[in-house]
Amino acid sequence: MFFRVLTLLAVSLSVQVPKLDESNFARWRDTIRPKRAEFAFEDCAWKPTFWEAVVEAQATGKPILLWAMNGHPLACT
Amino acid sequence: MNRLQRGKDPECLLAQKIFEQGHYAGRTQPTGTRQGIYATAPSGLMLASINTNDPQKMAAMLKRALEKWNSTRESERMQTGDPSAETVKLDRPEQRYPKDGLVLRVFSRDLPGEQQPSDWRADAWNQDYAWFRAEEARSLLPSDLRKGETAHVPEALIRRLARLNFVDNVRGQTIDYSNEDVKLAVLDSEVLSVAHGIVTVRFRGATRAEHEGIWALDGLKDTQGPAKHKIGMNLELFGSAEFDTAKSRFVSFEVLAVGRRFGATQYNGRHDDMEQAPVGFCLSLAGDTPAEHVAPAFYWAYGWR
Repeated sequence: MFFRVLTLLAVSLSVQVPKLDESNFARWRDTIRPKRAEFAFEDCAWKPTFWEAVVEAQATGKPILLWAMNGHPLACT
Repeated sequence: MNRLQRGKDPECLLAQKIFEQGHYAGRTQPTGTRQGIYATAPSGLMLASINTNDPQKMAAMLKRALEKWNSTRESERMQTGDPSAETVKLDRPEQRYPKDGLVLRVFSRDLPGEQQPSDWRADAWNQDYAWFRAEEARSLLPSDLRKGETAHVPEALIRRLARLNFVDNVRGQTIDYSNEDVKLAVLDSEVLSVAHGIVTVRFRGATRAEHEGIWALDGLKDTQGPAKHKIGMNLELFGSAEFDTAKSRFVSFEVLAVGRRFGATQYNGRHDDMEQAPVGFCLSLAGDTPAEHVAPAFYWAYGWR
């Protein structure tokens, strides 16, 4: 019985969810929000659509890098 | 991606021309996806392509692409007409970007727990967007903007977040919840202060969604054996925002949604992590860079025309 109680306690601790309030809000926000290094991909001048890149590439004589993904770096489109 | 592969407007047709010269050209099994990273000329001439998350392979692909670009005549690289003239033929969600409303970036990440793996999944995160038209954004606040005033945010708006944003996309692509899947969607706002035309509000609420169905769990490994599964998301919301009454728009917005998720879908990398586990979402004001004009992943469910 004692072992079962300990096991249940361990399981409940493993899925512990914070109760949000003013005192812990900043900590959890900073935990969830990506850090600067995780945003490094944003240093590229991404366009939100392929066609905008086509128009600019044609006007400037440059090639295009197309990231076509269910889950590309800007969001899952 | 689905639109680019199957659409008929000039953007989609050019993308399809490129895809059919790339690494998945003509492929139908195990899927017909054309996902990947493509280097192309404006004409649609393929330079190089790959589908990888290996930086060295990616760099090699870019090097090959540049070599081909430099060895190709300009007449092959460029379109003969002006593609900007074709822009009017496109119908993209980004054309309905709510510039006078509210655009939130929605980050998702697993919260610390005992079951976290030690590989890349420990740091996995994802992002999406949530759009609100101007009148929707204003309805997040009490109609009377005086200190102490409270309001229930219209259920349709918090329900939309529960359906389309509070999904388990931390490790990959997943599905949205249907209207019927959402069992709880409440969000209350309270005016904390009004000073110099800036209204500070606090938000508090909760959402719960569950969906049951038949699907495969482990990417492409078990597509022949889909089975009955259930997913769920149970969250509490808390945060604050500032609304500029002169500009009639939010100037700051920070709301967290934390709680538990369970289950897995085919492509969200949870096939071995299906028990209840803590997860968090951070909703914050998006900037105005071009990249932040990307439409929400489940934009089509907004019903905006």
